Amino acid sequence: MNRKKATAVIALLAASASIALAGCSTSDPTAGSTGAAPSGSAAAPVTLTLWSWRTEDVSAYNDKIFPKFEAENPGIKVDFQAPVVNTEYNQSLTTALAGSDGPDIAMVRAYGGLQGWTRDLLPLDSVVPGLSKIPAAVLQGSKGVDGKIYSVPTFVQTLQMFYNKDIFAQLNLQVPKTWDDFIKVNDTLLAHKITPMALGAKDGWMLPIFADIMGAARYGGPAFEKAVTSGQKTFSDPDYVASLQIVKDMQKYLNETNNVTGVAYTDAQTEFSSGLAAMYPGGTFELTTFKTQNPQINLGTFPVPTPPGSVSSTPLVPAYADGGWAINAKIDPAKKAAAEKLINWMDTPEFGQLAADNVKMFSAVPGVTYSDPVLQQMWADYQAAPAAYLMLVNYRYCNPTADSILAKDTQKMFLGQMTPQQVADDVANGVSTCTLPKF
Amino acid sequence: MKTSARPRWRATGPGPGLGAGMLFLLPAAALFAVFILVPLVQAIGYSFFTWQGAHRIGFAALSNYTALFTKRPYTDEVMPALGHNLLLFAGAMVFQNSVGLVVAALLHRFNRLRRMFQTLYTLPYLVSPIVIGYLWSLLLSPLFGPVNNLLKQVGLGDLAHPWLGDPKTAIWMIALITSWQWLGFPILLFGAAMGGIAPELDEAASIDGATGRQRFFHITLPLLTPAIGTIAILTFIGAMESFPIPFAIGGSTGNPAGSTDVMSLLFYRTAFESGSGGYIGVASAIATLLFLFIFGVALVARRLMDRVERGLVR
Repeated sequence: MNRKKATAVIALLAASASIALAGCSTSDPTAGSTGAAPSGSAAAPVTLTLWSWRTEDVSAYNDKIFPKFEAENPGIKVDFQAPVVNTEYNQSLTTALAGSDGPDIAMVRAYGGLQGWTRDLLPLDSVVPGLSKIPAAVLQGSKGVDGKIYSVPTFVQTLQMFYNKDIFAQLNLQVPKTWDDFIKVNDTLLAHKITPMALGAKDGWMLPIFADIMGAARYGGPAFEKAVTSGQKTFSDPDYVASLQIVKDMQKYLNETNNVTGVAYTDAQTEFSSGLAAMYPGGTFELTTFKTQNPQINLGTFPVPTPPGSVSSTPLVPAYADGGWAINAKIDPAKKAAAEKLINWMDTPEFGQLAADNVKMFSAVPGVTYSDPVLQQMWADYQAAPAAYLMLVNYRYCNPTADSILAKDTQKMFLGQMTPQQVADDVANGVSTCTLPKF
Repeated sequence: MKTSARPRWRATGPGPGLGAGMLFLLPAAALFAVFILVPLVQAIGYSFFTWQGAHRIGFAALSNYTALFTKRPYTDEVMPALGHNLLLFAGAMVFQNSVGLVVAALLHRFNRLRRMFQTLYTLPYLVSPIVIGYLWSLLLSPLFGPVNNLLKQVGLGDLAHPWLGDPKTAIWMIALITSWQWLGFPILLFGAAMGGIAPELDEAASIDGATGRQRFFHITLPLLTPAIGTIAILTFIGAMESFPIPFAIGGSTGNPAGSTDVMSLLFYRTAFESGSGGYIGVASAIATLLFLFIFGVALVARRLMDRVERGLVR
């Protein structure tokens, strides 16, 4: 190769390298949330970047909720983003918070799911004085294992049975008040060739939810929670085994009775919203999907009546705190005051009401009212007989998580590979080495 | 006097010089280092530490490795997941590479439509595997999927089955879907290898009275040995790293009941879905052992194939 050619090759490589490096750099210095401080005077606008896994809520937050805050706080802009889908959110946020690309404020998971991020978040105990108003059971989801509070709780999810009012009216069925009524409703629906309950048992994560909706009253809800977390009882307890037997007994009322593990979560949602199934055991988080899939659907909810032999005398509604708002510990100091102002606003009934009205979920902030009749019913049922969604609230701090064992084992139970006793023993064994945090 | 059969690098002559050659290699080497070598070394390093989120909090020595063989959930999940990877490899060898070889042999004889069919068979390979996975999960849905509905409508309702909900069929459906997507790959490679076989060999055998079947099994197939070896090793690597299609079909937990769990899914949920999120060390140990297993098997297989190929030349 002659000298001219070699020079040309070197020049070409240098150009390629500079292009690649330019591609790696951030083209917009304001795009990164933890970038340089805003230049100019103190009145220069600050843009706070928020991340969430709720891709379906981007428009509600940016168009209806945060404009209210922006109007009251000139100079602060809020940019709500859902940068990745729900299933990829955890790893994206973990990487972003550990590096320098994290948002100013992030929606973070609750309970065990929060713990991996606490080193990268600001403790809020002294930043948000209003947190003391939030019920202790909800606030527990925002605590690190060090006892500090790292997030303002966002939503509360309640778990109950949805039903299609039109199908019930058509068959002259009433909302069941007793277990016998409930079984009679299921039998009547079966007799009319309507799937009584739609359940996506192919996606295992729904099964611990189903188990608590059906069996919380049978095993005793809060009383059992206290006993099992203190070590007085284990999941092998006869009452917990009996609650799993109820789950197994319900298989004949589920979609594709013999093939229930083939039905995906989204298929079950579609089955219910399209009127092919009359009931759907699920969380508040399903409501937006049902209304989107079928705006005309006439919905109602009820807590499942107490099965025979129940420890609890009343039907229970399991619930859990679903995430919270947290401040990135690496936030640009110039933005910190604005972020603290915003996160305090997120702890007010004003924000809670806006979020509840536009996102159709229960706010964790007290003092919010619900205009949607379905939400009203769910909230009233929850207030009457609250319980913790045991598997999430208490047992997601270790690996394996209790719900991951219960999910897989319940599938095996439906497939005839395990008995309720074996499932309960396996869960008990799986969590036996887990040290639960003391709050 | 012994002479080496290997060509020796010559810095002089009509080709580019050594310096220019190295310059052209630099971009690829830099990319390899940044995107493959550095993460690889980092993952090995990560496996010797304990973590909180993405922060190293202590030295773990070999405890992340021993956890894989002594602690739940790994004691329950590692071997079944590895077994499923090997099943996917076996499935790909049968459904993908054998069918690919037959199709490539047929296309080799029909010159006119070869390009068109090669393109058609290769099309699914151009679609993202995650999309392929979701597409097939819709097609095979027991409630709304057209596959079962079609079977019912043509009077074969007894064959309708929750293909992805039955642990006995789910992993094989993943093997079939993966094979369907990658079928074009062996077709292209076998086609290219067949194109490289001197036609005189086939003609001579034909003149000697060999049938088409005899010519294929005694001339074409032995001469395809290098291609078969390469495809088998690449298939093995692909099957051991399988992630998008199992993820789209069975989620991160290998639903139903862990029957579609594979090593990459185990890695993924250990790293990102484990309790309080302090398991990057264990996940890195899984990744390291998986790499060593793939690398070791591929190395041994390559040596064996070299020996077989040398035997063919003699």
